[in-house]
Amino acid sequence: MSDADALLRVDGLRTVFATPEGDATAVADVSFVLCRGETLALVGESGSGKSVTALSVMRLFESPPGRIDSGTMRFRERDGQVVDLVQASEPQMRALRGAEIGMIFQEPMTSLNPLITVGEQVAEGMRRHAGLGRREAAARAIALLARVGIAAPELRARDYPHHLSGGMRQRTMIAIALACAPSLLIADEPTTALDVTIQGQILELLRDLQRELGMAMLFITHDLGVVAEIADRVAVMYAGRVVEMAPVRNIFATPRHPYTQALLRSLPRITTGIAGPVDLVPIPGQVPSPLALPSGCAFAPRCSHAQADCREAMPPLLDAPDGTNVACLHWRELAP
Amino acid sequence: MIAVSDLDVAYASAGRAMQVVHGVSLTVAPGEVVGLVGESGSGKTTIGRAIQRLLEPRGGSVSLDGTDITHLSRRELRPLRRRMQMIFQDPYASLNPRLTVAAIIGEACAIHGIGTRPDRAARVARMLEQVGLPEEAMHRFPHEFSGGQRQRISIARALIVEPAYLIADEPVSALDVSVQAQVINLLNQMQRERGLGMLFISHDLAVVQHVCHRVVVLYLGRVMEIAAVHALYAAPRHPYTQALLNAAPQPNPDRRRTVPALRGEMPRPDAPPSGCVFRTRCPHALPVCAMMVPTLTQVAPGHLKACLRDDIPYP
Amino acid sequence: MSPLRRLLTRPLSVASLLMLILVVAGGLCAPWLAPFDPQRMDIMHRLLPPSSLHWLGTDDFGRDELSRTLFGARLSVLAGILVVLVSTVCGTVLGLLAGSVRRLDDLLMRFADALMAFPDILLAIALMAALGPSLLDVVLALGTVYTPRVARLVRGAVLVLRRQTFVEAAEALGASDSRIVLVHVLPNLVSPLLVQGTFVFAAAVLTEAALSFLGAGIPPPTPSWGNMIAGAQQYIDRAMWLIFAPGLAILLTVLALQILGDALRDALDPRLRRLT
Repeated sequence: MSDADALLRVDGLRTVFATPEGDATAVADVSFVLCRGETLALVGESGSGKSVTALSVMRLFESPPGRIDSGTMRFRERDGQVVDLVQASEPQMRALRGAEIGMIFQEPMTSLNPLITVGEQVAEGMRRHAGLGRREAAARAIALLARVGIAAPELRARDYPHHLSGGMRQRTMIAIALACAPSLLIADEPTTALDVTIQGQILELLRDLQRELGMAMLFITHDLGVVAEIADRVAVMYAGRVVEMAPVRNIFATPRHPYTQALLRSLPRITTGIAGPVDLVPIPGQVPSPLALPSGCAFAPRCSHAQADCREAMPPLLDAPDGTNVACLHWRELAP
Repeated sequence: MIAVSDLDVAYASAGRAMQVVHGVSLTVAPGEVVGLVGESGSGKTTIGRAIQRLLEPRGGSVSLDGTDITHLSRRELRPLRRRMQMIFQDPYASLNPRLTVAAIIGEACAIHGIGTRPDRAARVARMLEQVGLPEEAMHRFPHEFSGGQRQRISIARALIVEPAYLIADEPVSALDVSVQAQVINLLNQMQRERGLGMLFISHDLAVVQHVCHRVVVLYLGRVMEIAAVHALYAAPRHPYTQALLNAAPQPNPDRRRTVPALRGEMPRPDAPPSGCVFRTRCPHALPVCAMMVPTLTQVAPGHLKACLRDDIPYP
Repeated sequence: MSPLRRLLTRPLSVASLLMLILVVAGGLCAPWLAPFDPQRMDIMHRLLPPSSLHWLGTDDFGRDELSRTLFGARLSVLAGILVVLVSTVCGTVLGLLAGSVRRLDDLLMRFADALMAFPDILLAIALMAALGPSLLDVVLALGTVYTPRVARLVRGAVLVLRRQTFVEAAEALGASDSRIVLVHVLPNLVSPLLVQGTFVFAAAVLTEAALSFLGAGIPPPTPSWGNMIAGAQQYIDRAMWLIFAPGLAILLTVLALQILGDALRDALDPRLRRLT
């Protein structure tokens, strides 16, 4: 994609948290590009650094103890200017958050203010960033609530968050995030806390809104099923690094990194033809602690194909066919 | 056999009683794994706790190997608890942070007078080995272990008394995917080796398919469908089961949905729709569905559904 | 990192801990540390300012202020520790009952509310009037005053703990109520009780001083920081060091206890224990 389409270019991001036991590297050397209208999924298990990456883009983590040690995050604003989010000042970030970059979180109950009505929370962003007057913002808020699929929005607008169901609260969060039509939406596990039948509705809503507004979406999740439904491209993360990045079809059809392969193999899938308990294929061992990352490839201790050179140096993201990038020295020998 | 018959459970909430389980009947035979599936508000966790007698049902009965335990007192229940154990969803909250692993697992022995003090340590060590943990884990505290390891400790605690039945309440839902597989395999192995009857409570249909022989599907505290695993997943007869299977995200980007997505939300338990409670979201609802509560009828041996219609296809 | 180590990383906590150790050691070792007998009068050398002989000067009866302050510390420390013991034991028992037995809960908590409705000092004075002036009576009175606070804390903690999954798991195993209380509830009460203990200690020291100051606590000539200040009032123009010594002692002790209590609470908070 050309430079003009690139909305967000993250290069060598490194986010570290200072703890009494030393520095914990949550994100180590993460790079990716996100274009307008595209959805990039950051997939990984706990400790992979996917959530911290999202928080880093918005500069929303507590600093101290967190800090961005190195890297750049170049974001193209609406007026065409490119700003490095790592270096941007706090007032600059505040101007961007809500207006050009929106974020939705996993747990809507704790992300919504319990003391302010739902309509008011949606309208607030519009008043602050788009400079709308009270009445106009309130009217637009109701329209927005309707657009996100909340029935009887005029009545719901006067409700408080605890009156709404989980699905409706999540829709409210989406409305708040999209109130000013941001060009980038960051969604951190937005459907994980929802029932599976509501999950589908929310994913469908996000897809529709994305098409309508032409916005880019950075979607964080641990659920590969959700990734298959929503993503255009996927970045698989492990122990703070991107280990594989590819278009969504390739990740599932031809996974090239041993971790991606092992992850897909360990997933229970709904099939026909199972008549009783069947064992799965687990990945032995566990994720390393961010305080004690192994030298060399972080996955090597658990990798059945690990060789001597894997433990010496961290493999960089290498190019593979079909627009895939793999961080594995021996990817060629591994049949997907 | 665990036999649940016409179970009703209600919670007291803000002065009023809210019924969350309505007339649920199911059985778990020795050596059989029964899945209890539903979304939040389906009552599945409540049923598990009712069977384990962590709460007292308002109506119906629960019997364990022929003994009616529905209204037994704590003291009367104690000897029976040895036959039926439970593992919980949250690996962090289900272990006392102030006790060592040896104390946590050994407590089960102490309560039921199994073995003498000196040989209890040996039993605990053996149990730890069986669940795949090193012997020296005995002297450590829960916070030193990961989520998956803690669930293993919980499994060890439940199995050391050698129960005949195990109630597993979402045992892998809080774990990472790669660890889920480890714990599922462990449960399968333990179940096979010990011939355990297991009630496996979960919202994850993919996991349930790999663990269970039979499945009970719940919606708003009521049973919608019961079937053997292969029948349920190949040819579900209840529209809710079909919708659940359809909605579950699968790691296949080319998958096309065969059934339209479910609209609306689950009704509140204190305001259930009349007749069939699923009718407000059912794509096949008829006017008669609002007037009659469907009972569980048999569509094939061992396959029951609570739906008035017999003609719903599954593409 | 262990809670103790965490406590020691903050300079203020370390300073408070040292101060407390100083006070407790000074008080407990007073009979050996004090240069003079605290009751020894020497009218010829009354109201002397601090000197090399009398480090803190002498009071209106010529008694050595330093020795009296040390013995006052002994009294305050003893009173504080005993009050903490009495209120913790009684409060824990009552709190456990209230938290475990539904029917007793209302009764006990209303009783506690009634007691707490009185300002500490007033309640203490009223009780002292009924009891009589001695250390034991002071301990009983203050123990009664602070028991409701501890009972409330324990009741709240018990209610929360009983809902914890690991307690449910113990129930599912077949554990009896007494086992659940002893093995699962009590050990988890240690932290909040420890923190509350430091605050009760501080309050006890302060209230005992106030009681003695008002004449309703330890009567003179036995030195208590409170009655020392009472006696020194009329000499404030001529010998203000007589108020400083006990006053500063109270201030520093109570401050140290409060700071330590806060630091303990932070150090023991399991949520702050780990990052991962």
